[in-house]
Amino acid sequence: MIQIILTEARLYLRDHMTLFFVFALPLGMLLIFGLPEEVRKPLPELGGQTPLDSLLPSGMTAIAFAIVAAFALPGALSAYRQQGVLRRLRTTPVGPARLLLAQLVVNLVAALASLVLMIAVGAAVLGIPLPRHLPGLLAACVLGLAALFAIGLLISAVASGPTSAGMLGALVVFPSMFFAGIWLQKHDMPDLLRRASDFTPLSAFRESLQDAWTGTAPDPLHLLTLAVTAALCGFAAARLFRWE
Amino acid sequence: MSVIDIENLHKRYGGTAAVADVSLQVERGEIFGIIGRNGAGKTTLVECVAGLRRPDGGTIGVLGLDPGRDGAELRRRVGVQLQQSALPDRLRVGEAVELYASFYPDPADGDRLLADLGLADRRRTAYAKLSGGQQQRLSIALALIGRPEIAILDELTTGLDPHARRDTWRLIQGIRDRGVTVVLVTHFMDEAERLCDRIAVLDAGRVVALDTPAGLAARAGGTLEDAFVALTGREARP
Repeated sequence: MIQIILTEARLYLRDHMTLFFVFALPLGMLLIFGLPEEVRKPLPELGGQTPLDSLLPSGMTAIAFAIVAAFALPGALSAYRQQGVLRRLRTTPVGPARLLLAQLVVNLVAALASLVLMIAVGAAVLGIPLPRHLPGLLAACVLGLAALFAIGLLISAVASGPTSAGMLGALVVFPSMFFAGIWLQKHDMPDLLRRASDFTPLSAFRESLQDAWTGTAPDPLHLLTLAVTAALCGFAAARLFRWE
Repeated sequence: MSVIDIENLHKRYGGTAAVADVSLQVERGEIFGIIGRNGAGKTTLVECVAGLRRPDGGTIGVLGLDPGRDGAELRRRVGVQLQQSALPDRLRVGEAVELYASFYPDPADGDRLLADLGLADRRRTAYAKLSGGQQQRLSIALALIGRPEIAILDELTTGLDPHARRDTWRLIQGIRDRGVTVVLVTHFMDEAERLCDRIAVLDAGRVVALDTPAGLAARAGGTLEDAFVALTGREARP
């Protein structure tokens, strides 16, 4: 099992495209959007927080996690299925489930590494305070990763190959980013939209993360949204997933 | 002593029978050939033996095991080479061999195997960068890395140049001499004639003849190819 994980990690590090989108892009956006003076002014809409301390790190982390879960994971798994990698493993004592597990491990590590990087670089370069509510951070990450990875596995289950996985990923991620307030900040949304976004997983994840950053406990509604998404998508993925 | 025992095997896809009432035995230490036209059911037959497909009827015993029930034990003792490519693009030759060796309790010497297959100088080459013939040879290496008692090889030398074909034939004869039973699915009559101790000719999912290459040729009063054409020469199927 360790050999499979090491091999998958090695292949991950060789895939420069994925590394760019998971690490460089979100971090780069954090640095660029974090530079203007504007984002350092407290906003009443954010309860007196500055966008730099709340919206930005949580938003960029949400993007990184979404890319890992909805693009990197389904891209690899659907390619493995299409190329017959999973089928080939069915003829060995190890079986394809271990490869799926190794993919999950490697992508989880990538997501967490990107979070750590975001916290560290944010603090070192931009002076963003560290997340203050640690139980909230833990809950947001555990449930958020469960929900997003369940979506990723569902995409892997229904995609016929990497191309269709990429399209499905985009179909899920771009609307999710909208609801998560990446383009239109949540406090500028109409009431109905804001309400709806509480029930979308990426938004629920980002809000819980933002709460953890600013020192508030996550909203139970958001955690519930994440848990329900994880359960529903996880169940559907398990029913629909095919090795060949 | 037979190591593969197939009785009245049936496998249907939708309305069409891919394998219809196949019964045959493969003896320990022989090279057993399966030949037939495209779509004759050769691959389906070996996939059932390898436990990749569940038959609709009949029984299969492989080393005394039931592929459907004792899959884990079966996969330790049977090596399989499949038709299509089956490795991640960026995986290197040496890494693939190391990885697959880690799957088995007592693997063969990977360096030796790569040298035998003419891949020793390709250890650091990524799978996607190999030529078709090199990919094919790597896939043979992976089928043999676990020191299997039975090796199932589907389209062994498709895509290989004449030199590589002969080297591969020698390798297969070598592993047979060490006591490994080989099941060989092939399109090439010269390959079947050269390597196989016995050959089953499949047509429309049925075994229409089972004999030594010389026996089949003698029956047709010509070559093995004459026998093949005579035995499978009915109406072309779509």
